[in-house]
Amino acid sequence: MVALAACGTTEDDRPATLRYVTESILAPSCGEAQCHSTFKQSLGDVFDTVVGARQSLHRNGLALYSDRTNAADAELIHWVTDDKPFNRTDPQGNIIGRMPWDAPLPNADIDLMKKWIAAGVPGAQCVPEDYGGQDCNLNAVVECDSEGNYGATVMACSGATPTCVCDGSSNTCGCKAQ
Amino acid sequence: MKTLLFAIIAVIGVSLGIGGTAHAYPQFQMSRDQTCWGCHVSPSGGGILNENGLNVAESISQFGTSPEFLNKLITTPDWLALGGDFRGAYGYLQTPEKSLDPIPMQAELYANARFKDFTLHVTAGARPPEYRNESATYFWSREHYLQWQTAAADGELFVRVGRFMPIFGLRFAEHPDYTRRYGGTALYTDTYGVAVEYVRDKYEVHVTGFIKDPIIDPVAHDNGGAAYAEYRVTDKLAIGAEGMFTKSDDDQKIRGGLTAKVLVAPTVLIQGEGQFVNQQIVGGGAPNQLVAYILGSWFVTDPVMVDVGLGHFDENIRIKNLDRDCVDLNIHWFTTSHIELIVTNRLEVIGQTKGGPTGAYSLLQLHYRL
Repeated sequence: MVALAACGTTEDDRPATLRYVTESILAPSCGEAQCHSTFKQSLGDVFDTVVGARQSLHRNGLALYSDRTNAADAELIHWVTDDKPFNRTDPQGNIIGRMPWDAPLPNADIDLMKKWIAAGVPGAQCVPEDYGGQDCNLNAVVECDSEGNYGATVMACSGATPTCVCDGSSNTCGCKAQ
Repeated sequence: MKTLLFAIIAVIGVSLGIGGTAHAYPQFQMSRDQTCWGCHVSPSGGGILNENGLNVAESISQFGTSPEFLNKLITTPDWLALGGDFRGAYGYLQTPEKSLDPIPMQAELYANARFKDFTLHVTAGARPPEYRNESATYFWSREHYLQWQTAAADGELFVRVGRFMPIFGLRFAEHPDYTRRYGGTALYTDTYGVAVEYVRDKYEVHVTGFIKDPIIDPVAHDNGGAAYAEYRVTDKLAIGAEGMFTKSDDDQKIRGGLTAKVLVAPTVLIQGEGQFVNQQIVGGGAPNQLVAYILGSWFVTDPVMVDVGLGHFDENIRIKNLDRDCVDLNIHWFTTSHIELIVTNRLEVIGQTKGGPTGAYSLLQLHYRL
């Protein structure tokens, strides 16, 4: 075991893409059957498929962050680094703690997710095909600036023009099908 | 009486909400019988016990009691076997946030109806409900298959069609064991498939072809095939080989590995499984992984079994500090023929403590076999 544990010497040059992050990190660590699998979809988040992860990022604004110089401020990163990150409760009323719930993530995986988010979450842009060729999820969370204009580069549409609303309460964004 | 019984079971199932399930104990192999089929109805183990399995359950338990279904309160015709398993746990988790949590695990009933060479098997019970589809997903049938079996050349040939777990590797009961969690047979990855299995005292071979479940939102998203063969060199040593190919819309994986079991003393079994995994991710990325788990099991006395497990998982052997190792200590106390108490403990480090926070859990689990 010790000899096996000594494996790995290369600096982290893994692809910072949605597909890689989903299949290598999110699916095995967060997409377990009883958690964020397609089977359970705990609190609406699905991390065991690329399409599910992309939709979950949109619906819940998990890759958005207020400080554009700090990818660690994204909600997804808070979930895997902070204790009781948002004081949110599950359906039973219990405060939801740090994720993953059953085993910690390696620091290198968290760093790769930060790198991916800082690069604009490549691969996570809204794709109408995810929604059966229809407009993208109209409840996607969008980043809004102080003037109420969307600055949705993080959750931009793929090959489509985003139609966003920044009214201070809903801050929603959709992508028109081509 | 039956209506009341099923109502009680249903209420228990709903209240549990469910987060796990369990199979057979391969720890019993060699010291109790050479094959899983020696104690279970299923050729790959798990679920309903056969007559030999019931005798073992009674003989090793602290206080005995009738081992049959519902302590023999209900008798079934010879062609019908019924069973069930209920499990729940409570304890300490550190991941690394520290908490005390209840963990509902399993509430399932089994039925096995045999007509000559054909067997119809159904496992049904509670499952973790799907978000915003709860009312339709509190219950399910995890397994349902038709099996044909016949004696062949001093062994038994089985063909199964239906929904079940692909037969692969050592098939530990504890789904957090690395070779289950990361090794191709994670919790609830049962799916539709066809298996051809041949079991005899000296060796056994299992070949399974499977598809992504087309009916429900599944845990596994792959089509693929798995093969496992085990050869018993002596009555105290067995070696095995395994291979699996899976392909989904997002990736494909090839797994190859070896297993071994050694009965080093009449009450001590050491078994291990190691896999090499190549994952090809659509769009780029091809991590090579290692998955290994070694388990030593000691029957301190008949009713007390102590397991010490060592796990290793490296999600990408090329990148440093992505490996994780665990030490497990599980103590099983078989109180009656039906009730088992288990203390499960794990200490888990990442990158030999340099790659991330240390995780741990310590849980008390209650298991009732119907």
